[in-house]
Amino acid sequence: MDFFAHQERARRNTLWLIIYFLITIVAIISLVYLGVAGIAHAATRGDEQPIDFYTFHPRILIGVIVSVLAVIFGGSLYKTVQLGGDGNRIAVELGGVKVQPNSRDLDERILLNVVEEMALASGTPVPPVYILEEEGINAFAAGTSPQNAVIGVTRGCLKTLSRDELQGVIAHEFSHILNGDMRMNLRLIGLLFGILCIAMIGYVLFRILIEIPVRSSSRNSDDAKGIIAVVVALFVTSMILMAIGYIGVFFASLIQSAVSRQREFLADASAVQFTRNPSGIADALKRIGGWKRKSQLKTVYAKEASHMFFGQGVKSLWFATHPPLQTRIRRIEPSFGGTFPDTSAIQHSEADIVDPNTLKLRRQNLASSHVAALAGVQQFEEKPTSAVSHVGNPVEEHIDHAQQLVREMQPLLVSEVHDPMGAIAVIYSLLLAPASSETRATQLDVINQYHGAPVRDEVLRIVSLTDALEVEQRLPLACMALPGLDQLSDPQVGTLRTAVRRLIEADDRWTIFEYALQRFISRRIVLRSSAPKPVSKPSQEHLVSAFQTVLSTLAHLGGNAHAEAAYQAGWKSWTSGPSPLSILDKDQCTLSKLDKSLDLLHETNPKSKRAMLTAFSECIAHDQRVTINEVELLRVISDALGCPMPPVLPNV
Amino acid sequence: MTGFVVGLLVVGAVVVLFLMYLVGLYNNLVALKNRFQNAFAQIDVQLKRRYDLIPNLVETAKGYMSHEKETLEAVIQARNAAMAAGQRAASNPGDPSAISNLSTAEVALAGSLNRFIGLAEAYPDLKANQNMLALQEELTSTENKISFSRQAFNDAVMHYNTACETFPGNLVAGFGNFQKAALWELTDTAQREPVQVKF
Repeated sequence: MDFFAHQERARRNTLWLIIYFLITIVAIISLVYLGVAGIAHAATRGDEQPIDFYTFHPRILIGVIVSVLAVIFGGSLYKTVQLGGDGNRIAVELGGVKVQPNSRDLDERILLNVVEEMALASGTPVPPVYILEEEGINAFAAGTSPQNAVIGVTRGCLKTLSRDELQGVIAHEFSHILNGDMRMNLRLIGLLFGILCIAMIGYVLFRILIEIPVRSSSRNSDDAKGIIAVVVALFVTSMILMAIGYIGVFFASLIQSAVSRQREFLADASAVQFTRNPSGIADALKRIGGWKRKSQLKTVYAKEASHMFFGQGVKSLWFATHPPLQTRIRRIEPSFGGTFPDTSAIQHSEADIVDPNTLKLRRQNLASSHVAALAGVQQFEEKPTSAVSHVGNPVEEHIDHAQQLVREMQPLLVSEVHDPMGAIAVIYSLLLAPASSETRATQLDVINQYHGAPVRDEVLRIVSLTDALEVEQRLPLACMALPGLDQLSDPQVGTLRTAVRRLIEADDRWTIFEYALQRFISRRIVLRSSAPKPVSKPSQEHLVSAFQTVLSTLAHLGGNAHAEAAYQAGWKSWTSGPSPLSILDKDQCTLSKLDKSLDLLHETNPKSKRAMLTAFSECIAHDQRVTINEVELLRVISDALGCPMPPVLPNV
Repeated sequence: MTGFVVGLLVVGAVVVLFLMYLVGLYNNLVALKNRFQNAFAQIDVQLKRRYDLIPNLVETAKGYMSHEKETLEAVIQARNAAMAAGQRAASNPGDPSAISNLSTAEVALAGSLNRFIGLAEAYPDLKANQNMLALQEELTSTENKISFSRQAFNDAVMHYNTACETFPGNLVAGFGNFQKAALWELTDTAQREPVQVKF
């Protein structure tokens, strides 16, 4: 199974879960109806027109349906909104403290680097990282899409795990992000909470009843009788609501935990696949077993969020959201004997900041890749089409490649991107026109005008370093700078947006790199303030024309001579037939049109996304050479489709 | 009876929704508070960096400026005072007195640094020292970053204060004990100028 199959399965599972929940809700409605009818029957027994329990009362049923649905959906909507979208809020709620991107603490530095490498390797934005001040060894991922995901680890994790083990844990969390587990969990928790609301209302009613003393001031015996009857009726109602609510929650939690346990196995397996290092994650699991505090958490929210964690956060048997440690380890390492080694805190060294193991390997291959990059055209080892199979599925080579990219950048640049002002300076200097051109002077004036001299001086300080970067390093460096923008205030973000636009348009033309960078920045910034609005499902006709636009743009990038053929190759891979629509003219492929088309294509199902990405890759690969422009645009496309694609590996 | 039960359930649902609204308001305040505390942490990283740089700077200058011992000591003292104020403020960025103490201490530090650098002008050997040049370059860059982060901090505080003071946030703020936070303002007009480190 690959990324698309997992996404598809997650969607199907969600559908099944919704069906289960619908059955539960129908059962709840029937039970509440029976309860209400029973009470009404008992209360009106002496009246002239008693409500008969055995006849059907549509008015009661409608009332029950409306109120039960209002409570369940109100509750689940509230919970989904509360936990939904932004992972940052969940992390803060769990007691997480955001790690400053420019932190100088050794443990935190290592953690940030590991996360950054995983993000670059899998083609996702670098997520914000949180630390929970907990002794237990645990970690979590939160957020509903790669764009708003965050990663959190406990202090215990940093103190006891080696770099390799930490990498295994982070890879496990990335699998949750990439496989869309969090979105499914979110729906589950929402519905669970909705059902719990029924029990809560019953409980509140019950508390109110036992708190109010029954007054015997009323001497009228009929009144007293009436009051007692009402109190008894309410009492029974509260009991019934509580019973129904808790029984519903019980079954719903069983479903939730069962699903969660399956996803944990999958994430463990994916972690091995990503890192090609089974011992990393296996050793991390063993350390949990040998650690005095295991993976337990103290925070009061731990129970609610237990499904998000790396290890079991709260003790439980039936409702365990994670399989037992031994079982998890045996799946990775069948020979595991079952005894855990003692875990004690370890001391990280400076050498761990970058991964020492791969350092020497990579150096040998440097020279050849530089020669290829200088020619402006890269020879790629793998066909870009095979990159589609790596979507959401980075392998060791991608991580190595990411580590290598980072390592080859000047340390000054790497430390610069982790600082908010430095991040801005790096982005601006990447946008500058070639040195000593007139455009560059104008651009520097623009920076000065929007941000003042300090930022301009900072840009001047680092611009010689960014000028010296290889072409394939520029976009990754910009992506590394994006988390730094999270620290900016809203006015600063506004300034940044306008300034970026002015810098790009200083030479009256957009390059693919500029387009990619601008798109990544606005995605990061827009997500910060609000969740993206869902677009209504587009018609087939619109989809086809959107596909035509994107494919035409890609085909033109490859050069005029081959554009038509490349376009046809891509179309053939999509529909296995000749294209009914001919290629768009070059001047019809505008960036704003591309933007709109990408938003439309995002709304399709995983299967057709796969087909489309394969078609795009076929189109790129048609002329047997892949330029950096094509690779960058493909990254933008895969990001826009929500299918994070690892960088295409250069032929090193 | 039916109407009564339905009415009760509807009232219950309305009460639950209202409570949820209040919880939402409260959570929003918490989020804003976290945001400005986070923004302070960002300044703090830079402040610490600067506190680390200053002793190095003084150490380098010592060999050349043996006659200016008092100035050098004043710089170190101002740096220690600012560092202590910084630690207090970092533990509670919402405390107005801690922030104003820090800003006063920072003003004093900037003043003594300015004097020190003015004096250093008179020592050509020192001016040519590579180490000194590199340190000053670092210092300028850090100063700039501090002023940049301070802007983000002030924006975040303003956002939080607005949410605390406007209706209906002020009701929840009073109930949840959310206190107004202080902006980091530059009190002394002379200190609006960044430290001059150019020779």
